[in-house]
Formats: sequence, C-alpha cells, structure tokens
Amino acid sequence: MKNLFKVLLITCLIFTVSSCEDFLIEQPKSTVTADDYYTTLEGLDNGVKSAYSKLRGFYGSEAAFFMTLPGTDIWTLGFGGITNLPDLGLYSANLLGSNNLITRIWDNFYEGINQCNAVIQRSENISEGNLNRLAEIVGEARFLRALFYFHLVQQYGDVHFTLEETVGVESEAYRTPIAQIYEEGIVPDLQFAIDNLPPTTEEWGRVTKPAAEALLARVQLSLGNWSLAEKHAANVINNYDFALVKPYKDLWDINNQVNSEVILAAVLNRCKN
Amino acid sequence: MKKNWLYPGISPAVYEMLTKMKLTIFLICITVLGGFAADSYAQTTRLTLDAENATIKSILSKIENQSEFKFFYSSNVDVEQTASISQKNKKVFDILDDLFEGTGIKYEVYGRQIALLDKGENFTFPTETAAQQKAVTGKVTDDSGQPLPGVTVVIKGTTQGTVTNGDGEYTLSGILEDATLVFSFVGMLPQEIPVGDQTTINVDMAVDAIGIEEVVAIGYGTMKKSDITGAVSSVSSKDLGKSNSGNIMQQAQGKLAGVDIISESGIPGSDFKITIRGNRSITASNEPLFVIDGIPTNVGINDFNPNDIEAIEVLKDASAVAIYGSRGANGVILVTTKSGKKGDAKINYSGSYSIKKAFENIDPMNPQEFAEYVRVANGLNRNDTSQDEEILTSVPNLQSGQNPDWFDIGYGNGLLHQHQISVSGGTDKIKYYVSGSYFDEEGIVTNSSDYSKISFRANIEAKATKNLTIGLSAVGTKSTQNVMASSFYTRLIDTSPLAFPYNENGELIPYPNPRVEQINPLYNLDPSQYIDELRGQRIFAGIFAEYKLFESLSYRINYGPDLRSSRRGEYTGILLGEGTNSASVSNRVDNINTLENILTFDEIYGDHSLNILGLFSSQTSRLETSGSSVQNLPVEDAKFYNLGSANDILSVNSFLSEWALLSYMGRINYKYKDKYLLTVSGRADGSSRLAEGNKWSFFPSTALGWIVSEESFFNSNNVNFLKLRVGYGEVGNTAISPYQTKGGLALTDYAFGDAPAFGYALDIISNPDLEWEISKSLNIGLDFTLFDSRVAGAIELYDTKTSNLLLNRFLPITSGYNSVLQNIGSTRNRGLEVSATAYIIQNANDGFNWNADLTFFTNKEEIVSLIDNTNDDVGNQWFIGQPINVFYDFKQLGIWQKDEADEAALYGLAPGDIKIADVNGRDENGNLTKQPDGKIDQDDKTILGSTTPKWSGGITNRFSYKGFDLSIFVYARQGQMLRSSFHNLGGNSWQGRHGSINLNYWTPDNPSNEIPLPIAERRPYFYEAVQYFDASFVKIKNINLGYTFDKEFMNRVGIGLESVRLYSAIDNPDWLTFSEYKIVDPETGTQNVGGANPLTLSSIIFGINVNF
Repeated sequence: MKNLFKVLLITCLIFTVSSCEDFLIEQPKSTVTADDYYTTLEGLDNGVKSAYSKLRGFYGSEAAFFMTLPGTDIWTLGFGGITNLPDLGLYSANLLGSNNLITRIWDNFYEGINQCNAVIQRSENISEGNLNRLAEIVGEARFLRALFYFHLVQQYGDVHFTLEETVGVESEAYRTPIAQIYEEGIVPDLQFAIDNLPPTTEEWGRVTKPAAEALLARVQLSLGNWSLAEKHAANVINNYDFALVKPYKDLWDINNQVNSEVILAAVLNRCKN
Repeated sequence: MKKNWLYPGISPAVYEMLTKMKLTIFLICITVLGGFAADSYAQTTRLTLDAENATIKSILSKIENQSEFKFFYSSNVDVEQTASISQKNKKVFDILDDLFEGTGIKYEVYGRQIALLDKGENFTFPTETAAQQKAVTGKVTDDSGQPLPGVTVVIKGTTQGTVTNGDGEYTLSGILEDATLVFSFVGMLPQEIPVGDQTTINVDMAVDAIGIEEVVAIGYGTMKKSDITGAVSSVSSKDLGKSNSGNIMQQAQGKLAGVDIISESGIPGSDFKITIRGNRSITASNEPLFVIDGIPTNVGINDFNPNDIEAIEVLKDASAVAIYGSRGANGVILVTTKSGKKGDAKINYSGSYSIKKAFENIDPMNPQEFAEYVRVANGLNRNDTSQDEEILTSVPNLQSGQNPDWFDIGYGNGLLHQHQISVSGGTDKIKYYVSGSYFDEEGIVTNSSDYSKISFRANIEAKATKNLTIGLSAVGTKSTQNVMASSFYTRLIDTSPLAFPYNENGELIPYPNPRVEQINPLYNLDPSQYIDELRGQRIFAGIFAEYKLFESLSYRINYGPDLRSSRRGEYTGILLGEGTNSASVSNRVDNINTLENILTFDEIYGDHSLNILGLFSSQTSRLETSGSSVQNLPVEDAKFYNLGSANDILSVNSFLSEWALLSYMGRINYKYKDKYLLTVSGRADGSSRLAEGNKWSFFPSTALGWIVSEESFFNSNNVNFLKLRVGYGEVGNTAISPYQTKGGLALTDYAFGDAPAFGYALDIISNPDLEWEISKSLNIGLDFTLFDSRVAGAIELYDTKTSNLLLNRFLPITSGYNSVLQNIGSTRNRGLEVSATAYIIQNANDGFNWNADLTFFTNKEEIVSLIDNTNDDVGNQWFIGQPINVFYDFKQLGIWQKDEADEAALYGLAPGDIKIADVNGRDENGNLTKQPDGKIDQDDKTILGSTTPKWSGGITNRFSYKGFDLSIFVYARQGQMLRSSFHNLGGNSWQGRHGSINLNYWTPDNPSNEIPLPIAERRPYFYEAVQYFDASFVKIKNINLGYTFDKEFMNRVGIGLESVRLYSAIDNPDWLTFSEYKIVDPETGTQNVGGANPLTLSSIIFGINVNF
C-alpha cells in the first residue's frame, strides 16, 4: 500500500509538470513580425522608412558609381590596381554575373521593391486614424517603388516585375518587357504619388509632390514622350521655390547640403545613436 | 570454450582450493578490496530461493548450487541457526540482506567469493607463513602502476594458491622451481610465469582486452558491454592525458572509430570540431550532443577538465541514440567523470609543463626577393635596378642588407603548464572525488593569445537510507582567453620586407611602408593598442536522488543546472585604429535547466531478463545577450571598462532567446538465454521552436543482438566471443533556432535631415511548416574477441539517410528575399568502421609488454537531393552525389609557357597567366555540354575536392618494460583538400605592392607551372585556381615516454610516496607530419589555412604524476 502510494505520487508529479503545454509556446521579446507590426500608421511609416534606406544602397555608394561610369568612354583606369575595379572598367574576363557590384545594386532594389509592395498592400487593412497621412505614406512607397524600377530597367533591361508583397516562397522570376513595367508600374505609381503627396515636407529627405513630378518628367523623357516630360518639368521649375545655387561652387560647400537646388536628397547622415 | 573467456584462469579446482583456504587469508584480501571489487557477477546474477526454517548453512549451499558463488566463514559465525527465505530473481545482496537480518552476520562480496563475518569481528593481517620449500613474493599492479588486491595466484596444475593483499602483495610458499604461477583477476588478462630461480615475481596485469564484462554508459543507464545492441565506441582514462590539451575530445582523437576530431584553430582554448560518421546536415550543425554525467549540453566542452574524465562513450548509430530523439542525429558523446572508490583516500597530483612552437614552414620573401618580385611585376628583369627608386619602398633598406623578417617578429614560443590535485575515496555509504585544477597556456603570439582556466569538481554519492541514494556531480570553471587579432599573420606577410618595423630608437613606425597606407601590424601585439579578451564562468552540475520503490523498480530524479556567463571585451587603441580608438563589450548569460524523471524496472524471469525504462524530462534554456560598442574614448587606459565616457556610441543591443523541450521516452531491453538481445525504444519530443500544431515528433528505434559464441554449435578455439548486431532507428537534428518559424523584421537606419529615421524592414519569411531534420539509419555490427582474449574489436557497417534537410534555399532576390529556410533535400552517409585492440606481447615480471589499438573508418558522404534530385545548387556549391563541403573552382593545369603563346592567346591570355582546364561549355540553347568550348568562364569551374576525408584512422602502440612505458600514436586522415590563403593572389596581393610568401612564380626565364607572373596593373586572371592542395596527412601525433618509480623505490630512497611517474612527450610534431602541403599544419577544422587563421602548435611536454 505504501509503495502504491509512492508510485501514485510520482505519476502525479510527472503529469503535473507535463500538462503545461504552455511550456512550449514561444513568446519572442526581442523580435517582431510583419503581421504584428505593419498594422498601424506608425508601423507602416517605419516600414516605408526602411524602403528609404535602400536609397543609400545606390546613391552615394561606390557600387552605383562603378556601375554607371566606368566602362563608358568618359572614364579610364588610373593607377591603383584593384581599387579601380578594372573588371568593370575594362569589361575583362573577370567580369562575371556574380560580380559583387552587379548583384549588390540588383539585390538592393528588389528588397526595396518588396518592402514598398508590403507597405502599399498592407495599408489597405488600415481604416482608422489619419487617412491623409496614410495616403502620403502609400504615395512615398509608390514613388520609391517607381524609382527602384526605373533604375532597374535602365541598368538591366527587361526585369522581373511584381506589385505584390511576397508571401511564402517564391522561387521563380520572369522577365517582363520594359514597356509593361513603365505602363503598369512606374508611371501610375508616380501619378499616384503626385496626386497624394504634399508639396513640401518638414522632414528633409521625405518625398514630396515636386519630387514625384520631377521623376515622372525624367521617366517621360526616357520614354520619348517629350511633351509630357516638358509639362512635368516645367511644372516643377515654375510652380515651386527651387532655384539653382549661385555661385556654382557653393554647391560643393559641405555646409550647404540643404539648398534651393535640391528636389529630393538621399540622406547619408549617420544617425545611429 | 563457451564460458572460458569470462573467467580466464579460474578453474573449478581453484574454487575448491579457495574454499579450503584459511579464512584469515581470504579476509585480508576482502578487507582491502575497496573499489577493486569488480562485482559485476554479483550485480547481474539472479537467484531464486525458497526455504522454511532451514539452517543458514543449508541455504548457503543452495546458493552455491545455483550459482558460482562460494562462501567462507570463520568459526565465530553461527551458520547452524535457522532462517526462512522466499525470494525470486533477486540479486545476491538482496537475498543475503534478507537472510542475515537479525542474525548478527555480516558479509562481504568479492567477485564470486563471499565471506561471512561476525559483527565486530576483527581481522589480523597474516604473518609470514613458514617457508617449506621455497617462497615467492611479489607485487601485482595494474597497468597504471596501482597495486591490485584480490588477484588470485595459483601454482599451475595444483590447488595451491593465495590472493594478493591490499598493497597488491602476495607470498606463496612451498614452490618448486619448475612450477608456473598463474595470476588471474576478473577483468584482467591472466598471466602465467615460470618460477625458475626467482624469489620475487612482480606482475603488471593488463586490463582485459575485451572488457566484455565492463559496464558502459548507454544513456539513461548502464549496460554490460556484451549486452549492447547499438554501435558504441569508447575510450577510457588510460588513453586520455597523453597530450596536454585542455580539451577532452582532443585526447580522444584517432581513438574512436567513426569520430573525426579536428582542432578548429590554433587559438589557445579554442574548441574542436567533432563529426561522427560524416556530415548529415548541410546548413545545420553536425556537432554531436554531449551528455556529461547524464546532463546534456553542446557548448563549452573546454570547461571540463580532461583529468577528471573516467570514460567517454560515443553512441553512433540511430538505434543507440534514438533515446535522445530530436537531439541525437549527430551522435551522442557520453562523458563519465571519475568517482570515488571505497577505501582510503587516494591523493593524486599531476602536473605538466610544455613548450610550444608554431607548426609552420612559412618562408616570406626577404628584401632581395621582394625587390625582384616588384621589378618583375613592373615588367622589368629581376635584376634591373634602373627603376628601383620609383617602384620600391626603400632602396636604402634594400642596400642595408638587413632583413626585418616581420613574420618572425610576430611570434615566439608558447608555454603551457597545468596542475591538478584530486582526492578520492569512500566508505560503504559515501563515495567522493574532489579535484582542483589550473591550466595556463600562453600562445605563440606575444601578449595576445593565451588561455587560462581554473576548475573545481566535486563528485559525491551517498547511500542515505537503505533505499535512497543521492548524489552530485558538479564542476565550476573560470576561464580567461585572449584572442589574437584576426588576419594577424596575413598582415605580417603582407607588409613589405623593405619596410622596417622600428625606427632607430626602437619605437614602432606607425606607417612603415610609405607606398601603402597600412598601419604597422605589430601594434596588434601591444596591449595598449589591441585587446580581445573573453572571460567566462560556468557551473555545471548533475544532482540526483534515486529511490528503490520495489526490489525491481526504482525511480530517479535528475536535476541539472548549467549556468554560463561570459564577457567579451575588445579594444583598439588610437595608433592601431589610425586616429580613432574603439571599444566594445558583449555579455552572454546562458542558463539551461534539465529535469528528468526516470523509472527503471529490472527483472529476470527464468531465461528472460527484462529492463524497462521510462523517462519524462523537460529542458529549458534562456539566453540573454547584450552589448555595446563605442568610439573615441577620452581615456585610453580605461580600455573597455568605461564605455559611457565615449564620444560616439556605435551600437547598443540586447537580445533574449528562450527555448523549451518536453520529452517522453521508453526503452525495453530484453534478453533471452543470454544469447538473444532485443532493444526497442521510442521518444517523443515536443519543442517550443516548432510552430503550433507541429511541435511534437516521435523517434523510434529497434535493435537485435545475437551472441553467436553462446550457441552450443559454436565451437572455435580462436574465437572467444562473437556477437552480431543489427539496429535501425530514427533521430532528429535540433537545427531550428528559436523564433525561426515566425519570420521577422529587421531594424534599418536612415535619416531625414539630421533626425534619425529608423525603420523596420521585412527580413525573414515566416515558415510555420519547418520540422526537424530526420536521420534514419541502419547499422550492422560485429563484436569479436579472439585468441584467448588477446584481440578484441568491432566492425560496423552503416547507412544513414537524412531527409527534411533545413536548407536556406536561395531565392531569386526579385521576391525581396535572398533565401528561405525550408525542409528540402537529403543526404546519405555510408561507412565502415573497424576498431581493434590487441595484446601482442604479454610478459609478466616486469617483462616487455606491447599492446596496440587500431581504429579505421571510412565514410562516403553524399548529397542525394536538394530542391529536387537532379539540380545542383551551384551558387551554394552543393552538388548531387558529392560530399556536402566541396571546393568548386577553376582547375589549374599549370602556367602558360612561352612556347604556348598562340594557344594562350585563343583564351585571351598570355604566357605567365594561369592555364585553366576548359571543361565545360554551352550549346546554342544555353545548356551545359560538359565539353570544352574554347573559352574559360564561370561554367568551367569544377569540383576539385572535398573538405571531408575519405578515410581516417589511428594506431596507438603502448609498450612497457620494467618501470618504463612508451606510447606512440599515429594518426592519419586522407583524401581531404584544403584551401591555402597563403596562395591567395586575389585582391591586390600579387601586383608587386605587398609582401608575400616566397612563391615560385613564372617569369620568362623561370618556367614555373605553379604561380603566375605578377603584374602591377591587375590581379592574375583566374587567380583562385592556385590555392587548392591535397591535405592528406599521416602524423606521428604523440609520443609519450614515462618511467614509474614504485613504492619500493620510494621507500628505499626514503620518500613516503605511493608512486611517481615522470614522463615526457612530444605532441603534434611538425617534423613527424607527412603531407603534400607543407606550409602549415594540414590538420584543420575549416580546411582553410592562411594568415587569418592562428597557427597550430607542436609541443614538448614534461610531466609528473604523483600518488600520495
């Protein structure tokens, strides 16, 4: 009888501990997921901010410079060996598709595009709060998406094109003709941005309406739609307070980064603090 | 033959003799038996007795009839009193406890001999028995020099004999000169020695080669080796301690078949890479689970002192490891630490001192060679000095004829000393083993590579009441490690030998080379400029209580806290940091708690014996990390101890990671007629890391064993024991990190104007379908013992298929994600393992003894499928049908020579360029043709070799003669390839600007086929191709020579010590390593050697081992 009691006691002990299925539930504290986070205006705003950070992957980086200038007839190699990236400048045998700069720019823009897609799509689930601000956030995201695609088609030609956030695993990519990307992506995105963005911003570096108009002017220019290009460009020149900096050398004054000539800047200030 | 192997040398006649022997003599040995009582017979033999009011004497004779037990008693013991007993399938202890309750009789068991004593009976040691004809005296010791009490010494062919006393000594009289003495002891090899004219015969007995009676750990219990059905390798303390490594596993290198043990790097205190039966997992860990005194862990094995280890058992096949379920796929290493033995306290000191030197044959260019190389790179003749002023760092330095030898300045000799004191002993009720140790290694890189460790261990076990045993096995460790700057050697070699490190005042020149903006690498050796220090503490314990509920049912609870904390502090001074100093601190606090409830049922029903185990366990882990890094500290002396004072904070971070595991496990071991063995087990694991609905997984296994040699038809004089085993099981690999199924966002930074604009970006795709990787494995094994137990070994054949591999499947980035973790892909490992031990020459009387251990294993590792079973993943260098880690690159055929200029030109190359094999091309549709296409491009990369060895093995030879002992360990690892970063000609390292090792490069007048012509304007085309080498090696890894001064000698010289062993060893000597790759040690965990990796070391060891 005594032994039976012991057995019962142990059995109880075992099963009381094990009945805690809660024991196996994860409660992450240091990480956050999209489904939890991109559900508010603030969350989406932080989502679009990280799309802005993709500007740094191109503007102001060596990668963009080397991708766009060396190899053209305005650029030659100097002494300095590897630092001049002779592969790109000479289109040498070492220039392969796996070249770090080629992939870096490509990766950077597609990550940015998926980020914009996420912000744009998830904004549809928000129906409360400052809806004007929400439209602005979406406008910024669509502007950035248009900008990223614009660079991609210019650098790589027909590229993969999607306007939806990737959910789950997507292991295939398809080329889409440039014309379709302009028609379904870049131009309507910029038009939406023009319609929804404010003419000015307190936060220097945020996309504004004239920035979208200026980009659209450039896009139309590359599409050969001269009159549309002229229309948008003229609008930026005539209807806002932008002006060329004079004298010209002042543009290079390190303390004069914020000046009347800037329509949109990729901000490289370090602020990790 | 059937039974003879079990109890060699003890014939029935001897038993008869023993029963007639004077009790006093027998008692002597019993009183001193202490821990030597290898009472496995008593532990495993079951008796059934039924007697009503019978005399004790008659009950005892019933026991003798049922078993091989023999009883001895003096006239003080009243055996005529009556008692009643009714017991079924009980151990002899239980029966005797029951029988003698209240009778005033107590007993002692030794092997099969049981002595009965009256309570309070005192023994007197025997006086010298009168010599009748000739007396022989002597001492019997084991192979570690410890005296062996209880050894039976018999005159061959007679019943005359004795047993050794507590000091292992014996005296036997009435011996004729032509007599032969037979020494035997359970678990030891018997020895026969002709007496001749000797009057002193000392015997050194070797542990029985088979050790089949040996009880080994199998996870959640122990088992006789002969009853094991899975593939288990083991190494015992006698083989540990030959090298002076602070790591348990290094000392087991080459001694465990199927276990590949390789040092990760030459950093003092660095870990070892352990792979059991090849790599199964492509992205997840292939490191085994350690279970130390029952508590699982997989980190910081360095925290355990090798001198505290009694035995290591490696569970290799799935049927053996299935009881560890989702954590077992990579094999399980069971480590058992030493425990106290009944008897007087044993005090032991062991210490060693070693001198270490770098294992290298690195030959950097001297100034003259460098100048020639620069000239050649600039298109000049080697000896054309016309442009030296323009192209060389410093012509005066060249003319001075001095050689700064940067590489040589960078390091010196390393030193290591370690000390350990242990005290162990015990009584009937309590056994203890307590030790303290100190380990201090100073690396070869001055001031910046060292490791020191202090650790204490206490292993205590107490029989609290008749049914309750409690115990503790705990270790506390504190360690400090300084880590060398990364790429330190690269920087030394990289620096021009025309740049001198010191100015005329002996101070370091900050920028010694005016042509290259490169800080003097020797600042890395200055503690005011560079510190990378790790400090760690750990407390690891197993605390248990075991309660016997019924005779055959016991309950055990284990609690294992594991507390680890560590801090890494890094500091770079203003000189090394070129104007900016920086510091960082990161902290880790890791707490894992294990709680296990185990019920064990053990019963014998006639021919059937049954052992059933049930386990419920839980494990929780909480890991907290935090850290910050800063720049521009105002007070340099503060190092990383005042981060708050810094002007710039670069980052602040903290992280919490938790996981939990619940497990139920059951195992049945069934044995029929001592011949047929069956093991069935199953484990269900529930893990927090997996998504809801997917948390639980089940891991079954089964194994059969057949002891062929027990069959009546089996009749072989040469084969003493033969067992065939076959097992199948499924196990998992816990390869998913906490929260990994949930996906997640990552912090990004940006700014609007001067205001921060942090964002949260999509980072990881959530994947709730993730599961464990599953390995299914079939193992066939054969255990054998041959030639009167002189040779014993095992052969294993296995086939393991691992599926559900977690692969970071690369995705086209167009989806926004680089990769996703998925359960795709599978691998297969097949292999053969052979291990054998042979007692080749056995001589008693301090004669020459030679025994050898051999291990050999080969493993074929291949990827069976990735995303599907036809497509390779070239981006990740994963190829179907190939091992997991391969080198995939251009294949060098040589260098284009002068007379091949036209052919080279077809590829757009010129003489002096690397000649690459054109192995592949594409047809008009863009498909690979596997045919040359007249151009060299990405498609011509091919599989050059693998990092995984084709086979590996070791041979340990142990010799002894009188007090001398010698062991020689030869280690081979064949068929693997390495990448040598010393041959990295990429970047701008081969353009006549930076230093290099003195490579044999092509010039028009030196038609080398190894290294291309250096050219100042560009790196060589296809430069990657020259850096691959065969890393196969054979090493005489360790030679250890010792001499033991025994007690006799100690007494003679008047030192009151039990024994002293002095030894000297060489470990990993570079001059006894045979390999095609000669620049540094070809033994490398990463298969990547170069200036970024710390050099491995060769050492000379001097040591002492004292028994007080």
